[in-house]
This record gives sequence, C-alpha cells and structure tokens, in this order.
Amino acid sequence: MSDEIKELTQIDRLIHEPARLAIMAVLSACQSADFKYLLNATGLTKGNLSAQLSKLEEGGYVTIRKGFKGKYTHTECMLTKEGRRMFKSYLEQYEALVQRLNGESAE
Amino acid sequence: MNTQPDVKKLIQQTQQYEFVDGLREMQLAVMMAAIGLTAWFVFDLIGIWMPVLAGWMRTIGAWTGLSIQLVVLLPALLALVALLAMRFARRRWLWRESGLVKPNRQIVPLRVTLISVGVLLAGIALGVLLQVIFPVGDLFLMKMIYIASGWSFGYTLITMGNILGLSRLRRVGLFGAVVPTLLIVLPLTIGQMVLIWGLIWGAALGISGMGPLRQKIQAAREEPL
Repeated sequence: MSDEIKELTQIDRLIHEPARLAIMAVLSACQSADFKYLLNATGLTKGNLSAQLSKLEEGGYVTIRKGFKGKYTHTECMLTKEGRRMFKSYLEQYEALVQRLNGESAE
Repeated sequence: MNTQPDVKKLIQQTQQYEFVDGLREMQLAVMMAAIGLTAWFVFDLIGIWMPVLAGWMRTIGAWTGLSIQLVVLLPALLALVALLAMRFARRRWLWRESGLVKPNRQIVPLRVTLISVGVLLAGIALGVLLQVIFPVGDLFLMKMIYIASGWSFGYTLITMGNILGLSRLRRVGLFGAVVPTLLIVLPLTIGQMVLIWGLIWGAALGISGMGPLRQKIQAAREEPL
C-alpha cells in the first residue's frame, strides 16, 4: 500500500464527509452557532443538517442544546473539546497530504 | 453536498459574522466616547463636583466620597448596556433570520494581545523619556497614557481586520491610532484632550459601523415575517 493511500485511510471519515466538514468548519470558528445559522452557512437542507449533526453528536464531536426562545424551539450547536482537537488534526493531516500530492504531481 | 466545501471561507465568514451588522463597532464607539466624557468630567470639572461631594461627605457621611468611583465605572457600565442592547437587537430582529452565533472569546491570537500591551508600555516609556528630556509639563505623561492606549487599540483593530479580512477595521484602527496622536501637541488640558480623543475614536468607530448596520437593517426589513 503506497504512503498516500495509507494516509488517506487514516483521515477521519466522520469529518471528511463534505456536509459534516462544512458544519465542523463553521463550528470551529465560534463558541456556538444555532441551527438557522448552520443552515444558511452550509446550504444544507434541514433534514440533512439534522442528520449530519446527529452523527457528529454520536461521534462526540458536537454538543447540541435544545431549548425554547419564546414560542419557538432553538437549537444551539458547539464543538466539544475532542471535536476541536480532531478538526485541527484533520486539517493538518489533509493539508499535508494535499501538499505531498501536489509536490509529487509537479515532479 | 458532494464537493469538498471551502473550509477557509466558511471559517472566515463565521468569524466575520460578529462584525456583519456594525453593532460591535457601535458598542466600542459608546465606550470610547464615554471614556472621553468621564475623563473630562473628572479632570476639568473638578471645581464643580468636588464641593458637591465634600458637602455630601459632611452632611451624609464620609462613605459618599466613594461615589466618584462610580463615575469612573461609567464607561464600563455604558459598554455593558450597549452590549445588552446589541444582543437584544440581534436576537429579536437583526439576526432573527440569519441565525445566532456566539463568537470565540479570543478573536486575536495571544501573540497580538501581548504585542498590543507592549505597544502601550512602549508609549508610556516614551512619555516618561520625553518628560525627563523636555519641559513638557506635569500632565504630559497622563496624556501619553491615553495616546498610547489608542495606539495599542488601533494595532489590535488593524490585526483583527487582517485576520478577519475586514478592511474597515484596518481603516478605523489606523485612523484612530494616528489622528488623535496630533492632540498631544495642542495646548489642551488633560480633560479636553481625552474628551476629544474619545470623541474622535467614538466617531470613527460609529461611522465605520454605520454602513454595515444600514445594510443589515435593510436586509432585516426585507425578510419575511
């Protein structure tokens, strides 16, 4: 197995999926964001966003708090410490891999 | 979503969101103007408030002397009121449709905070040096503390503008750091100088926040109820 493929298999699949990567990117840039902001920022549908958030919550990367603001439900999402750590490590791993692949294709 | 999202863009957009409506600048504008007004009251109106305070201390009790401390806390109090008003306006109106975001506590890295403290201390050291070398007057150092605070705050705003990709923060930081520095050479009392310093900062921040606020209000009006 080549090094690149080995590195690819080590990349966190829970984060690497595009919709979840977008959610993680948004949440990494703030303390917390609500469901509405995540909808607008990621462009996902309500159902998809909800499903992806649940997967990230199951993985221990995201905390979801549900409450009420007046008559309406309000969902606030934030990265856990583990989520932040894993996202940072994902970015480092991914960038290193991209740089290596770019370097090799230039040779 | 099948293609990889632009992670850097999503991160920057979310970091910028705190400044998207200009209200954060408005809040800072209130604080800076209040600092100016408070300093003017404390330094230049001492002839008015001191006899009143002395009268209270004689008739009511010595503890009333502490009330002047409350005046010094006024900028912090006004900044807090402005912060609460900002949160209320965002929750109820401006961010109702676009969603709520709590920004990270530390927008700029620790390195930038340390450099801004260094800028402040360097400014104070320069003030001490000039006071020793030239006959600049007793209150020169006090004036330099305010001017150096402006340099330090300006540096922080410029760096924030660079990190967040917001050129208006860079502009207001540069303007606020440079223009009020000229006040040091004008024949002003410390109270007058700090008042004008605070009003210049307040006006610069207020004008900087006005454009985005107008746009956000327009957008909020056009959103369906």
